[in-house]
Amino acid sequence: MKFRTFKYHIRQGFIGLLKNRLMSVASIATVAACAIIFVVSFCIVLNLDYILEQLEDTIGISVFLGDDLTDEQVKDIQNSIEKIGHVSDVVYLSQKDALKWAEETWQNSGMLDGLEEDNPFPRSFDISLDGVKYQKEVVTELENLQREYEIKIVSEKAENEFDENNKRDGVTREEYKAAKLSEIDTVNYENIGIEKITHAQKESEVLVTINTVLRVMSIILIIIMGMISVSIIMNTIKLTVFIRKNEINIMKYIGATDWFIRWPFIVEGIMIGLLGSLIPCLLCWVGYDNTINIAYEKIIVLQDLVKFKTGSEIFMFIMPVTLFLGTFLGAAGSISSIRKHLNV
Amino acid sequence: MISVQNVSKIYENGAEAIKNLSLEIEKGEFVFAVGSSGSGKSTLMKMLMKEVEPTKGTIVINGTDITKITRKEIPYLRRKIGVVFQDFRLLPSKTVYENVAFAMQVIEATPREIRRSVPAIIAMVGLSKKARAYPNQLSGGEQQRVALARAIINKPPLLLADEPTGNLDPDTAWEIMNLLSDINMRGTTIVVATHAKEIVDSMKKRVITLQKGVMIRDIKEGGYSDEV
Ligand SMILES: Nc1ncnc2c1ncn2[C@@H]1O[C@H](COP(=O)(O)OP(=O)(O)O)[C@@H](O)[C@H]1O
Ligand SMILES: [Mg+2]
Repeated sequence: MKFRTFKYHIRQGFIGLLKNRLMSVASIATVAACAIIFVVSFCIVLNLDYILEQLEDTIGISVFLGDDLTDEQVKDIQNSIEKIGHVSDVVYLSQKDALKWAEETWQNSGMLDGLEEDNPFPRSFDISLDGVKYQKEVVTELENLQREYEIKIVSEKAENEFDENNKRDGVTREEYKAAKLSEIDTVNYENIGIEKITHAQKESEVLVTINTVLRVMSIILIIIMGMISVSIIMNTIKLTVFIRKNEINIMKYIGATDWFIRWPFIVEGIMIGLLGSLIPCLLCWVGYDNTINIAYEKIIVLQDLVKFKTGSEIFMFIMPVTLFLGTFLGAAGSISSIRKHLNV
Repeated sequence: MISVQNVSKIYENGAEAIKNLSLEIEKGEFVFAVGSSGSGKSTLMKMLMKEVEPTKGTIVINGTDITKITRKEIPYLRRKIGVVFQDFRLLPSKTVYENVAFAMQVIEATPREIRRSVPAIIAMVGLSKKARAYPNQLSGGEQQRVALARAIINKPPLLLADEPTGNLDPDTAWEIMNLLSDINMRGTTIVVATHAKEIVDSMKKRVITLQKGVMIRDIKEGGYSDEV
């Protein structure tokens, strides 16, 4: 296409937009309404997703350790846990840490007086994961680790306990060890190896479900808003095409190519799509920033409970997407609505 | 220039508008197509500008069989054929100048070419003083002059006019016909479908007569209803 022809099409597109001012404004407004619904729901979805992520961080796994583990064994267990897939962070809490945490939680209630000497809190690991959906997998791995340690510690114990008495009874060292190991599943070994694994199973399952529902809903929303916008743009262009039917007809008699006739309408459709998505994006951005600030100000608890995405975090992503969609749908709507009018 | 071979046109509703027509038109000729209303004149013109497809037969214009060209090639065929209609078909929102220039923009002429050619053509049809007027400010004859200027601005070798004087009073009709004759003198082949009996009779051009889709007469320097 020659540059002057390009300029001609752009100009004609704008002229078309201005000539049917009322309809252009109406269709830009309708597309804008769709874009607003799209952008607002995206803000909600992205923030819910973000908040879920923060909640996921609080739903970790705790591993409580038996009292008789040596420091080397604890270190060894930590290394093993860190090697499990999807484990992002392992924090060690000593007995002292645990007591301190408890004191902070039940401040001065007297419940914990005198516990420094005989600290009842076990040592533990707080484990964070890459995502709450990996919890089951990691817990299984931890249970395997737990069993591994039970076997190791029981057999070590058996090794040490085996003495002359056993020998006299005609029991070999191996037989004694095997007997002890077979008891692992029936006898409750307190304070051996990894004592307990706790995790919030229900909560994590709920979070995973909410997350999936959100994803599906946002996809459905995008499709519905896209379809509404296309049909609006198509109707507008159909009307402009109808109004300019004579002009198209004359152009065809003069020898204009199909693309020459199409371009001004495409420009018009693109402008409707672009303006219809740009204006609401900018308005929503400003509105979003204000809403977040007010939310933080009015609801002070929010400040430490959850964080929202910042306006730029959301709109740097969503604005190009919306603008692209608007432009694309505008062009597609124009092309499909002028197709049948071109057969002169 | 134009070679029509055994062409028939039957519309979807079954109307037989043209029946087995064969016709040769030489380069530079001026041809009147006459006949009563419904005799098939417009159908013939529409087939020549490829607005209507013949049901049967071939039409060759300037060595190209236009019944065989693709949709994409139609615009380039139309650039070689100027067309004029009874109802002028001007763009009401454009001035005289813009209406004529529009035909050059469509074929992507340079602004320089447009600035040079348009005033000359407007002068040729005698509308220099009204170049800035809009179609609704012009008389019917003036509007048809603008349509003529637009039809010939790209120097097509062939000009088709379907009842160009149908909406005009006799004096104005004469002016338009004389203008067509002038254009023909400069080398453009012209086919005019018309009802204007007196003009046809006195212009002494080639006349083909259609009746119910059949060409019943083809006479050099003829009249509207010459007896054979
Ligand atoms: N688009 C059409 N569909 C069906 N029949 C048509 C159409 N155009 C013309 N006809 C018929 O074809 C015949 C010739 O019409 P036309 O070519 O317009 O004649 P003229 O221009 O000489 O008056 C008429 O009987 C008319 O009714
Ligand atoms: Mg007719």
